[in-house]
Amino acid sequence: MEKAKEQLVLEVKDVKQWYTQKLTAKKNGKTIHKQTVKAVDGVSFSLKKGEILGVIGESGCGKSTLGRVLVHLENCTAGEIRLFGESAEEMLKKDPLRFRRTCQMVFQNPFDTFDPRYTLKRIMEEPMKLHHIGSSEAERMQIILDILEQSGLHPAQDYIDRHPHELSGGQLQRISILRSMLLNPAFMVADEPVSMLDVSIRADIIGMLLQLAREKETAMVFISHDIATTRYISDRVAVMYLGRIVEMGETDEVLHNPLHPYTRVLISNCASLDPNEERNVIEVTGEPPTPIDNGPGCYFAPRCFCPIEKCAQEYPGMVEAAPGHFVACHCL
Amino acid sequence: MALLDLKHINITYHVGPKNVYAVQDANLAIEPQDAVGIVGESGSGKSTLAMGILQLLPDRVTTIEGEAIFEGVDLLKLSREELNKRRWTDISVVFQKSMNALSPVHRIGKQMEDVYRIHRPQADKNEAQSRVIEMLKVVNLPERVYRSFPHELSGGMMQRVSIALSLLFNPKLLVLDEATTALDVVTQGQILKEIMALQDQFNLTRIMITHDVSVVASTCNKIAVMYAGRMLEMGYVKDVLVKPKHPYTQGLLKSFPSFTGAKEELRGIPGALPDLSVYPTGCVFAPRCPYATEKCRGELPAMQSVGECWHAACHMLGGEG
Repeated sequence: MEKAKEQLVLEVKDVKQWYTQKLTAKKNGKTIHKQTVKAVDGVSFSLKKGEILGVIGESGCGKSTLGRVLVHLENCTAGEIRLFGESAEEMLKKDPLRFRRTCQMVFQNPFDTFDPRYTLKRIMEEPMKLHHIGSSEAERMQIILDILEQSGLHPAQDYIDRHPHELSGGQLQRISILRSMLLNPAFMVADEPVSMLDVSIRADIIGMLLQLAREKETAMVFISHDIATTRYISDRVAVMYLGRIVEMGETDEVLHNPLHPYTRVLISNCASLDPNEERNVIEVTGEPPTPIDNGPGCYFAPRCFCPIEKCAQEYPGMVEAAPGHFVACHCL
Repeated sequence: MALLDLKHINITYHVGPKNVYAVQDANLAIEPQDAVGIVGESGSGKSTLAMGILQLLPDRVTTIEGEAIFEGVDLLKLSREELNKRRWTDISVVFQKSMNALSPVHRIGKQMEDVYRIHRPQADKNEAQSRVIEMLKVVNLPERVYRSFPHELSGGMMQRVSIALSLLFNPKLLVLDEATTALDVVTQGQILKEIMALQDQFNLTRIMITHDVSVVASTCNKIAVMYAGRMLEMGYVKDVLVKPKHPYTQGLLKSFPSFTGAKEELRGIPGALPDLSVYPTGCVFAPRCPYATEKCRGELPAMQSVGECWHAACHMLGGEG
């Protein structure tokens, strides 16, 4: 029992992130001054050591907010995040350095990640100084040169005096990943790390991320809207819609045997590279609504192709449809 | 006869003392009712090519050479007034962020009527209004959009407005420059399907510029692959995407993770785009090509035919194998 608990790196329980919007509007004949945007509305999952969870969904479904909450860039409204059984919030209060060493994040846009006036050397050295890695400057320098060489930035000596604008997006994203991995974090959030990059470079960056995560057994939450990439990198997949996870399970189980209508729509709309492939696109009407006042029923019900009466009245609970495959839908 | 025939198009940007050769020797014939997808990475010159043909690039810093024959007339030789008459009525464009082109302080209907009046100055209010509403219906927008402001619409709806706007005069050629890139998969799926339906309805000829090969695979019949300002391979989608001949196309297709089947190792293409301000002496792809030989570095490969309507520019094809 103790051992099984030790294995869990991250436990997320019913995390909610609500934003209050001030406005004056008329709704149902009443004037309202505030409304709540439920960006993340009750998400629970856990991650084992070295496990990679892919989070997919359309823009505005709250996947990036979830990522930011997980590394405590924002404090969540409700719910609990536990790292190795310890509350993340307490850990951050007691020992912020240790928390940051455990949790790291890779952002979408590598051009915004770094201070434009720092050289690469300073960019890489700063976190090492803060976290007391390497005793002297020479030793730190050696570490930096080693990891740059390993990642294919060759010769490393040429790169360390450059500024971020002198590097391409792919090279910068490499450095961003390397810097996050420098501290051997137990848990990492990668928020669309390749969506800004060109296709021919993307594959290499994903390969590198995957290799580092496997080597260091880092648990990772990989946020993406690209289902094929997510399939490639992740062990498990969670599909989000309007702040909630609607389906979660082993990657190939979810993607090849989707049970939730939304997952089926999402997957059927993914265009394939093969022009001869028969495509069976499930169409939905309408746009994804905003996560404000979604009513008591299933959030997807208004766009769903097979709603039943119950869908409009009650939000479905998570059901384990197959071992490890969880779905929130009434129509199973 | 081809609807649009591009012959030896060269587009060069003059940036300070440097010349950037953004498009070099592009040849492309587009038959009526074709759907041609131009694919390439960012910086490969695909948007420059489309903008160049329509003369939308700033004249002071660009030089365009070559011929772009549209229905027997060279677009590049037309004066501004003559071209303005053809723009939008014969050829129209939907840009990636064309929703940003909408005025935030005017209602959608009013803006669209303004565009209508430019080419039909004698049109009365009712005619313009009914045409605009008709077009909104064509792209599956509710009538209330006519009275909405852009901020009241979602990204997908605004992109539909741009498409409706581009179809106002039943153009013969529609250029979609990354028109669905900023949208979500589900919305993208909806819009692509609508565009294909419109193509049948209005006998459109379509050029899709995109970096997403899967969009081309599902909506186009021909494909042209661009890299560093040059066309490297072109042909029918069913040929090029199934058995690509050019090493770049092969590499590009390998870097897409597959959705079904085994998780093969993903292969990127090592290296980065060459500096476009240096005029290439050999094949533009040679520095990143796994099969490159001395000949590739020293001599430009010419486009050669490798099948029916299928061309590729590579020394490795034919001859020395």
